[in-house]
Amino acid sequence: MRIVVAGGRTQADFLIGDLLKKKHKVIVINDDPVYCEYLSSTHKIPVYQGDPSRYFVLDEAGVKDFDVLVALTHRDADNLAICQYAKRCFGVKKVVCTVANPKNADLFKELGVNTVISSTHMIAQYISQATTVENFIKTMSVEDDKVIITEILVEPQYACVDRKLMDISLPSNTIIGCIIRKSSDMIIPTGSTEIKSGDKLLVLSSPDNQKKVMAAIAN
Amino acid sequence: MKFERKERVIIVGCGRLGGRLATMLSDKGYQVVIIDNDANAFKKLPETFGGIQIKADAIDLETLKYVDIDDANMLVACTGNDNMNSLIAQIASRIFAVPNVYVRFEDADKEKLISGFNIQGIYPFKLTMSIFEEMLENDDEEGED
Repeated sequence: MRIVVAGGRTQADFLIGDLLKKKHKVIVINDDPVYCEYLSSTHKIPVYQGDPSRYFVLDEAGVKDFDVLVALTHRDADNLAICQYAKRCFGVKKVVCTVANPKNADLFKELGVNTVISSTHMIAQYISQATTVENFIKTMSVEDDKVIITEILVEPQYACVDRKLMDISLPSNTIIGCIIRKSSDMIIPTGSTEIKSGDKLLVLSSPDNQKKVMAAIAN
Repeated sequence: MKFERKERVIIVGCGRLGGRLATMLSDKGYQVVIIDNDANAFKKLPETFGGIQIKADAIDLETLKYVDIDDANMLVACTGNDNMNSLIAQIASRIFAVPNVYVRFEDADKEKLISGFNIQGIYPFKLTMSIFEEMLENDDEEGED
């Protein structure tokens, strides 16, 4: 994919390295001349020096019809302007930005940014999920928190041990998608698959159902 | 006059333009709320200023809700930062449906960010150019005589 990275310091550097490793075509726009020099010498990619929230800078950098633009400046308002220019004037397919104020995440989505990343929001969310039940080893949100994947380690005393999936009543909108068992690599279960002590279950559910899922498996 | 008296006006940014505009509208009888994140900015307002001064960050939705933005008839975004002005104007018009939204842009290209929305742009650069253009046209006409 063709990707523009606008603004940012260390995150930009890291992201560019990562994207290049994955064979994407990357160009960079950054307002700091010294940092531009550093980026162009480290990554050997086109680097344009200028304020990416200005129309002529984006125009000269040639971002037209790029697949993705990522705005990483430290000012939320600048990131919005960059994303809106990219989308409205240059036909960039997907625009992504970070926000310093977590309250701006929903706002910016409403104003047309495809994906808004707030690190504060993500940390807060992780902490609240991690503390729900200790047996939730890992939780991952996808599709803006609409779906979560929960990893549950089955303890010997759990009610579901040695029972078939069809005999366990799970809440609605929930599925045990995969079982990871020490003796085999992984199992995509059917109704007749039995759960064993020590299994790791990967459960897909809505966030609201997470506690119910735990209750159904443990009690 | 386009607006009826006693209507509520929110001005964001107490610079020279914001300060003067707030004073003028307040003197004419509008209910004016002026927001700036720098308390010193309010020194530009005369002692007789009859509006409300709020020291806060205007791009924070809580601030705008606090000043009852959904009840305002007009909002003017005139901070010193174009991108901030664009964001504030879009929040006012697109989120809270404020009927009359004005935004001041130093960079006339920022018009592209608000075109198509119910937001009126004010461009000092364009205004200055149009004065010169008019002046030159007048000169030409005089020259032809």
